[in-house]
Amino acid sequence: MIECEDLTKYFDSFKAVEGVTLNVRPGQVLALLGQNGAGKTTTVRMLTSVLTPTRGWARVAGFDVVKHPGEVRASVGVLTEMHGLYGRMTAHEYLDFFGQVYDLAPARRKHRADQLLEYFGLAQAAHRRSGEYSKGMRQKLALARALIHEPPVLLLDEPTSAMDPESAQLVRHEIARLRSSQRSIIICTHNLVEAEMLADQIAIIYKGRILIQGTLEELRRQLLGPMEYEVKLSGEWRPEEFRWPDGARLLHAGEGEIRFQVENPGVANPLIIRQLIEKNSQVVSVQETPRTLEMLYLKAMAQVAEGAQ
Amino acid sequence: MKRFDLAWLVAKRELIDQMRDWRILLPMIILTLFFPYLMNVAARYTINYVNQFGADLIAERLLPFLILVVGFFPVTVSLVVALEAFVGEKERGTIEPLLSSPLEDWHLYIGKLLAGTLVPLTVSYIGISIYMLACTGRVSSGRPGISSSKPWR
Repeated sequence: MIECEDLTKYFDSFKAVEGVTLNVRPGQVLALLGQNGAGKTTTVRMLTSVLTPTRGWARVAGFDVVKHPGEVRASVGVLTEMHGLYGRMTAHEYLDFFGQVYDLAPARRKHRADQLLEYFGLAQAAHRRSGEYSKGMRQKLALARALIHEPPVLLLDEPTSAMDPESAQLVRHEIARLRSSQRSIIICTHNLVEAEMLADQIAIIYKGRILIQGTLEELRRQLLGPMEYEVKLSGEWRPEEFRWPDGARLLHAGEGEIRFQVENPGVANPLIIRQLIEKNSQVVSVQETPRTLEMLYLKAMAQVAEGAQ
Repeated sequence: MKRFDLAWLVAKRELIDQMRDWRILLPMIILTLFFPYLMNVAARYTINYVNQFGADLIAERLLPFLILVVGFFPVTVSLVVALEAFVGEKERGTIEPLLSSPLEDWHLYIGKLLAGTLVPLTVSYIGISIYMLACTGRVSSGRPGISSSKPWR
């Protein structure tokens, strides 16, 4: 479990992170989104006891990051932005080294290293120096290092940034598996499609502060309002004859299509469709207007820019 | 975790890394094997030269001074090793996973200190030993030594 409240870090007068409050329960993935330099890495560094917070507190896997840094670091698997591999060590030696750092028994170290290298498709290259690896292979090895001690908490910075689609999918499956085995996971990413696929919670950080936080659905409601639907019609449609149910409003009416917003789609949508049919409009299709995380993110950033003006 | 074995683990990793880095290995081999021999030859020629003018004192002081020179140059490799161990780790981003691991700061300092001193010191002593052996070899083989005013061949 990861919890922090009012987590703040100043570097002299520069406010890198201010008042960050997060709560990631076991079995949850939180995607921390934000521009470069927004404070994501500083937050992660405080959560791994690498940096001491200026203000606020954080507990990771039940340990306070200031009072019990050793226990915190032993419970966390970190994938850093730079992979941090030793180019003159083979993948097997590298994983064995970190296995020893995390105090794993020799047999367990070997088993975990073999298992992870096999899973990430690096078994064939296990005895090659990592300096000879491609960028994607390095990323996978770095991820294997973060997982070697089976930590209850994972902090992953851009876990699939350098990977080909197959490898990225493999990593996403692994993250999903880890979530289902009750790990608490924070992913810092610019890949919004991936964040949308994996995250249970999303937090957007801007200039060190959390702008907005919640589930994808909560964020959609908060930023983009109620659900939107699009109906394609083949017949004529007269807006003056149409009566919109409570909580529904027309957004756009064009040639052969209408778009509307509803507060309570379960009640309002059947009424709208029945009316269309009764008024001899030929309904070709009804679909929810896609509202991606990218749209949410850009909307949040646009609001910030408007506020700044 | 107040365990010394973690500091040794860090040192061991650094040592393995050094032994695989030709930028460190090559100067060390040259400074251990070739440089003492070169100094020995240089000493011989210098002593022979100054002995022509009866400057025994210079000859007597030169050999011990060259021990210092032979020992000093391999030790300078420790600067490169230390640079690699601290600045290199930061530049390559390899320090971050270490800082996020259960290793404490003193494990890293002691481990890197050991790695930075063990090899250069060993190499330095080997270099001095080779130089001394070369010198004493000449003396024990019946050839004139450093205190002699006769030419040293």
